[in-house]
Amino acid sequence: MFYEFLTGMVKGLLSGAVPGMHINNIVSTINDPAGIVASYASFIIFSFVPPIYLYSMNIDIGVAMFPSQRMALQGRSREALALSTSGALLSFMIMASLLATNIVDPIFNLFSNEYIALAIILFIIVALFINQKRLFYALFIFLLTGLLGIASMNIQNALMPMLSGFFGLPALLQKGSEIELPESTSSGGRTVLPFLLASFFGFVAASTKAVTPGVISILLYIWLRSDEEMMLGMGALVGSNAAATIGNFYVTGALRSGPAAQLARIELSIPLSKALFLLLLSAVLSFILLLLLSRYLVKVYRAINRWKTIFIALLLVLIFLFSGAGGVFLFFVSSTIGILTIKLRVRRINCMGCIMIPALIGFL
Amino acid sequence: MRTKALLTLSIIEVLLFGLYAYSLSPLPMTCAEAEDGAYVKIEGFVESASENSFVIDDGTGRVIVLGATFPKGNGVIAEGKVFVRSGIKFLNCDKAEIVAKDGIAVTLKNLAENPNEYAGEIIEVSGRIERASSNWFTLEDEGFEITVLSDTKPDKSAKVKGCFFYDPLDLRYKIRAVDVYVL
Repeated sequence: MFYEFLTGMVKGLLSGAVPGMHINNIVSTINDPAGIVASYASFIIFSFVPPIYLYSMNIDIGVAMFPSQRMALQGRSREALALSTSGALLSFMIMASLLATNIVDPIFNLFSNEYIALAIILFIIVALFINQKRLFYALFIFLLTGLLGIASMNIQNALMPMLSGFFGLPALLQKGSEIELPESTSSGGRTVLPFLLASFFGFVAASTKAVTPGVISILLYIWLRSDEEMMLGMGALVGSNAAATIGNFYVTGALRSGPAAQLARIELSIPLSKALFLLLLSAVLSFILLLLLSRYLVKVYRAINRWKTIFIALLLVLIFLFSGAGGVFLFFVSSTIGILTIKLRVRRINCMGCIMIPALIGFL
Repeated sequence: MRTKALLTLSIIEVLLFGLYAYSLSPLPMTCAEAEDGAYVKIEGFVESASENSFVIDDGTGRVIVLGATFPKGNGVIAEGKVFVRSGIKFLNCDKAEIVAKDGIAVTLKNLAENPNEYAGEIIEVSGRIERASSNWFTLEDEGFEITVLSDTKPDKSAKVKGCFFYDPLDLRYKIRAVDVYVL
């Protein structure tokens, strides 16, 4: 089991650290439950590095791209990384403790109701459009990206090229150009409230059909005040979501993440208490490893990032590997829309129509 | 680039991408045709089911569908990527839905006259039991006879619901039973 745990952890951290990769791409190669949960935790911890240093999109952290980009451009990448990973680690611990005591079990069943899921999605859409400036263009972008989201259902791993196009490439192109980044929100902020709110949202996303961490992150973007709160919150959201999807699998059998689906597929099984312990152990070890490796990782990423053309070429190669030619096509289309959003001066968060509209259609 | 031109370009690109994606839609395929790595849509019936998976049978073979479940005996369409492990075909289900609950009511005479019309379909047929073994029996009606693959072994007469298929090893049409009702 020790060997499986270690190899799982290494696979997870590679899938987190390599831009464009996701745990879902690699977890099907792991056939041991200890390896699966270890890979999931290390993936979560390392998955914050590429978006902060390379502007490549991680489908789970959704709109956290914006604050991470802003902090990176202000030279505060390390702070952004520290906030997000510590948020993830803390929420792992709290969610694992709650799951171990069976307190949250009935809530899994409550949130599995389809009407609750529909209500949450509609609420997020309404919250998105309240107080929007240039409402017509915002709605136009929302619907256009929604159409693109529906069309991309036949593309493998479509979210990665699509979100990298909306959020990653435009930010990369505007570095040093005349286009300004959205203004940074106030510095500093609260810690407890964003952390608790985000951890709860992570749990809700793990329990509710069609509500993903990326979808629910829109509420954090709307409600949280500063970039620091957002980064801490996103870490907490993703961490609690990972622990809760594993817990939800054990309690209700729901497959709300790739690792949970792989746990269902393999013949071996371990008790929930052991799975939670291994998840925590892997998260703590990965956090320590990230502290030790971050200096070297940052050097590698900075070297790549210095050469925009090389980085874009690398991103295209990764997209081609994971999503095929259709993914590359999708990346170009979504990049055009990402740049259009900046030109139209509407919030790029409206591009999340690509997830929201297909999610709504899923209820029909 | 001017904003208006970029806006027009975005709309054209989305439309073109939509056409491209539509061309990638999975084509209906049989279990036998489904190959490792292919993105397919398979129609058949639920041969057996567990909590998070079911076995789909379309008369040409079986595929284990992961990530969805339906009660045994339902006609279903499942869509997803196929992978093969140890010679067994699995389908990572992206979409699955029930398409038919009841079998087509036919007589053995209908089946004998138009076997191609019913191959791969879920049918319901009645008859008398002629011979039986542990996992099959023969059904006879109006002088026509067919082998039914089933673990259930009724005594005299039965109504069988199942998938009508051609067995290339035996060079004969057979029925793989989903339900057997004793008459």
